[in-house]
Amino acid sequence: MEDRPPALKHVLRWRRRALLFWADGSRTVITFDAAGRAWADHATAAGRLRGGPFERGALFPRAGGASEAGSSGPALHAPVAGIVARVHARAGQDVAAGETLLVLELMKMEFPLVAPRAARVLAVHAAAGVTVEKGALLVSLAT
Amino acid sequence: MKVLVFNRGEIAVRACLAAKKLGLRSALFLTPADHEGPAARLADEIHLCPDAEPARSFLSLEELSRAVRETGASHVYPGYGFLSESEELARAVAEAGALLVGPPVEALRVTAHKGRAAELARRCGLATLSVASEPSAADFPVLLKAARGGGGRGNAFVERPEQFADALRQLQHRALSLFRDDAILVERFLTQARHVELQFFGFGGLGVLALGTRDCSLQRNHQKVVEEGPAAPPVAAALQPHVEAICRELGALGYRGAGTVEFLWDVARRQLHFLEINSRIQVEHPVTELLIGEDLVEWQLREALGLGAEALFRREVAPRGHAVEARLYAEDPAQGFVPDTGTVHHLFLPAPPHCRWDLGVAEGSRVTPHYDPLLGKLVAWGNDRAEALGRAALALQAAELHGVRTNLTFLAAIVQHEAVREDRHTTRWIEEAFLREATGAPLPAHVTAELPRHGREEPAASQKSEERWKIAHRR
Repeated sequence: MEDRPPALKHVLRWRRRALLFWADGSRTVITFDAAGRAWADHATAAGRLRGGPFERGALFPRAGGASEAGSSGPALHAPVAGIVARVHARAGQDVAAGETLLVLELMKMEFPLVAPRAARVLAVHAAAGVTVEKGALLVSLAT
Repeated sequence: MKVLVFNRGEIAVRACLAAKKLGLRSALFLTPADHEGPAARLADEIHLCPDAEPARSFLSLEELSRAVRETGASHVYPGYGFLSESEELARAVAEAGALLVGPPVEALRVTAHKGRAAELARRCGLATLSVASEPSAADFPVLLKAARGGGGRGNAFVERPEQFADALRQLQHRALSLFRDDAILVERFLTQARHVELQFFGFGGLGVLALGTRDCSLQRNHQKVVEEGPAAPPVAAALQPHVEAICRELGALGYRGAGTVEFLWDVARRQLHFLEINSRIQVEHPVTELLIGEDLVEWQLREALGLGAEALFRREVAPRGHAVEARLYAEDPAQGFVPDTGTVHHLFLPAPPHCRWDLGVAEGSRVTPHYDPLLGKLVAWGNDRAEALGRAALALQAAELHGVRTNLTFLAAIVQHEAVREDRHTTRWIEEAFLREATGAPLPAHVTAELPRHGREEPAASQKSEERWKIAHRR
């Protein structure tokens, strides 16, 4: 899927930005946000997406590769930044695999966090109504 | 006179600009999430709502009443989404001593209710997709719709009879909490369909104007992604005989302001079915604006405030050429279109001639998890469909927006796709063909079969059917 980028011909730099001119005639704008992460525009000669914090990902998800809600470790992190809509899990509770522990809401969409396997809830780190960043620790499970 | 802009994003920008053009004072209802947004720079004054959460801001009648009292606004502009189509909003505005820019409560009671609107449509000779509340096996797949809901979360798709009872119960539960009404309608689901709509504009006692058609078949997950106008000639021709009756029925309700009648065109049977009426301005209204050369948000304010409404009603409007709109969302196509949040730190959106970006963000704006991920829209006009699509592609490819992931690449790929250029897509094309194609998944059999074109190669028919879009029903 990933092809090698063509050779770089010119670079124009200005404040926190750069404009890259590639040998194949395409160009890419790179900018840096306040956290120092690099961002690039999508319009490359190959028509490939190079957007977002500089991850040169594929343009579209792989078949059946929709984003998985939650992670599979003993700790569950927020898959997206969002608002905690509902908390179903309580500390000390035994939960079954697939049970919804907590629901995040983001722009009118709900993202349920489900237990990856049967486990005991050690702690719930967020309350309903709280805004959380992507990757924030939400629920710890005992394995 | 002062207009309270009770919305956010690009539609709030449009309302502030229209107020300025008409020499009216605008007061913007502003939440902490939008302090850095463009609307705050354009409004004459702001009313600060302390909480960004929709339930305690744009969905709160209490906060609205407080804003009307504190700003002393004479009118409230609701835009789209949030409470824009609710009778409660119309009543709350009246109780607060202001006037709502939109249809009166008596008209909303019919048009914003899916069941009553369907009765109105049947009186106009239109077919609907309704089936009995206990559908038979032959009716499947069916679509369940909350009577008072709008789009996405108010709908449920049911493929097989054995899933019906569960889906119905779930949607009733959701409808009760979201729309405070658990009435559900059951409709036949068309697998090969085009989504078409008629833009109308009501002038109360004067009557209702039909302003032309749009086609919004490019959808993902029942959400419109790319819209265009006018609709293909065969569809417009099928709608034509009903337009006068629709305007007459809406006129009898005393309808005021912008509204849309939505239809589904059954591609295989070549039949038109009424879907619903949207009793507000729509996201895709700029398609019509480019076709007729008017500012519909300004029309809304002029009609509501009595600023030369009669002159607008008498104005000759004739759609010309073709227009395309693409919705820019803060979402990541590479991760199943999950919405993204962040701060826009870089924005470069050149617009070719006859193109326009309607944006709700500026450099420095934050995109927060509180609201819909719509960042803005690109609209492009051309003498014909190919030119409009070409200009849209040009603008989308040149666009740079950094700080939040967007669907820009996805949009650019859609407007350039062969199936779209050849007008062969249906409402499920993005999910069933386009996304599968991009990921290499096999296509379902009915997608690989050659789909009929939509007859845009008959320009004579197009001109003929568009000629009579100027129909106005005068009471």
